[in-house]
This record gives sequence, structure tokens and C-alpha cells, in this order.
Amino acid sequence: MGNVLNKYLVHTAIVLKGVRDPEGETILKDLVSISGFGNVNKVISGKYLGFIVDAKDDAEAVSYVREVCEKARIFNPTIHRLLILGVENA
Amino acid sequence: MPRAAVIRFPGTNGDLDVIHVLKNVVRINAELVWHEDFRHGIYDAVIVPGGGFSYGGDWLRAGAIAARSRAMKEIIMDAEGGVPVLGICNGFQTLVEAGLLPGGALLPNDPPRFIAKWVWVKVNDIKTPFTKLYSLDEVVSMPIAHGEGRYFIDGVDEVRVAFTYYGENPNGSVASIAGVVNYEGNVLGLMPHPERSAEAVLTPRGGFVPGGLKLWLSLRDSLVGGW
Repeated sequence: MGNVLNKYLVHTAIVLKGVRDPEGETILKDLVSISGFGNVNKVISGKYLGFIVDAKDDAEAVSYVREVCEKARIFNPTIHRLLILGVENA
Repeated sequence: MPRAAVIRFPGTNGDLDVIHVLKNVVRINAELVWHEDFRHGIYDAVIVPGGGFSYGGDWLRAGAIAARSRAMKEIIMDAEGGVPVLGICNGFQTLVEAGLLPGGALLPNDPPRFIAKWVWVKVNDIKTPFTKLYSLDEVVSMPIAHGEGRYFIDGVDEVRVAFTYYGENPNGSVASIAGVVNYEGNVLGLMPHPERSAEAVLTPRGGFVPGGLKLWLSLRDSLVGGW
């Protein structure tokens, strides 16, 4: 039973770090703030990717997807941050 | 006679413009090469053209997928052997993603919009096979047409800058960088389009000049006489 693999869906997002995010700034300024939502301080834009992977548990699925994203250069570490948004059974 | 390869990826659309300029304007023997057919060690110069949205409108991010292609591995071998390699616009993005040129990335423009217009650029480095016939600090005009042209790098002082935007910085690039060259000088990438600015007939009125012509003349001169 110990090596049975299950399918997991790992939700990830790639967001900018340390450089200006004009898309997020524009959404904040021209959609959110203009509509009167004054308590929103910042909007961060990014790209969502979901990965369905075989793994033995949640933690292994997440670490495997993290490795995929680093080694296959799914994100550019100079300018991006990889967020793991969550994991669920697929 | 020297031969130049112009690489076509799925979705590239500036390739025929480059072929036209090479063949008909500066008379360099040029071949359009489908990316899967490209091999290193055959051509005397390699151009990764722009006007392109190779691989489905730059899925993931500009140039990311073409940069991992087998053709890119072949181009890297040529580049390491000293062959002049030029990346224009989407080709520049691809060469940066592939690690052939310094740079963190070409980010979405700031302000965030697609820009298509003629701009002025200054030539900052003339010790390359693509810029040898320009004068240092010469200011020329070329068109830009891109959505992801904001050049970014950590440690901008260490980069060999080939071209900078003169006057207005249209896309938020660090230090107004429009084009860079590798340490050895044989690989150059730029966002402006020299293939669309090599002929007077394509140059708009209003004082603009066909600023890309000297880049192609430089290449021809370099292929014949070195650089």
C-alpha cells in the first residue's frame, strides 16, 4: 500500500516580484478604486497553472510540482515568484 | 559566398521581411530555415526574426517555449563558435530566455499596452558584426511593435548595451535599453525592427531615417571582412 500513487491537482500561480506590475496597478486604479472600493491596497497580476500529477500524498505532489516549475523554467526566478495555491485530489 | 539562416518557428511572421532585406537590399545569400531543420555548423550568420508570436502568441511568457526548442540548442552551438546571431523583437526575447544574451527578462510593457510606432535609438556599441558601420552614439530611427519589451536585469552596469531608446523610453526598460550584445560581441538582440527600416520606401515622413540599413550592411561587411 505504501507506494500506491494517487492523482492530485496542484494549483500554482506565477507572479512578479520586485519589478513593477503595470497590469495589477491598472486593474487597481481603473477598475477597483474607480468603483469605490477604497480598502483595496494593491492588486497583483499573475498567471495561473494547474498540474495534475501522480504522487503518494499531498506533500509529495506539491514538492514534485515545485521541482517541475524550477527545472523546466516554468517561471523565471529573476523576476517571478511561484505560489502554490493549494492541492486537491484529482 | 557567406550564407545566413533565417529561422522560422511556428507562428513567426517577420521571417520573409528579413529574407527580403538580406537578398534584395544588401545582397547576402539567405535561406529561410524551418526550426526543425536547422543544424549548427552550416551557416555564417543566424537570424531569429521578430514580428513573431512563436508558439501560440507567446504562451507562458515571451520566447519561453522557443528558447527550449532543439533549434535553440543548435543556435547556441553556433553562437559559442563565434557565428554572428541576431534576435529581433520576439527573437530577442527568445535569445534572452535561452541564456544567449544577458537579461532577466523582457517584461510586459510599462505602461501596459502594445506599442507600434517609429522611435529613435542611439547606438552604444559598434564593436559587433551588426553595428560596425554605425558611428558611436549615432541616433537613428526604427519602428517598434511589441507588448513585452521592458528589458529588466539585475546589475545593469555589467551589460554590453548595443542600443538605447533616445528621448522617450517607450516601454519602461531599465536604463532605456533597446538592445544588448553578449560579452563576446557576436550575439545581438534588439526590440526595434531593423528589417522594417532598411529602405526609404518603408520610412514614414516627418524626419525619420531608415535606421536599420546600416545593421544589415554591417553584417554583410563582417561576413566578408570580419569585425
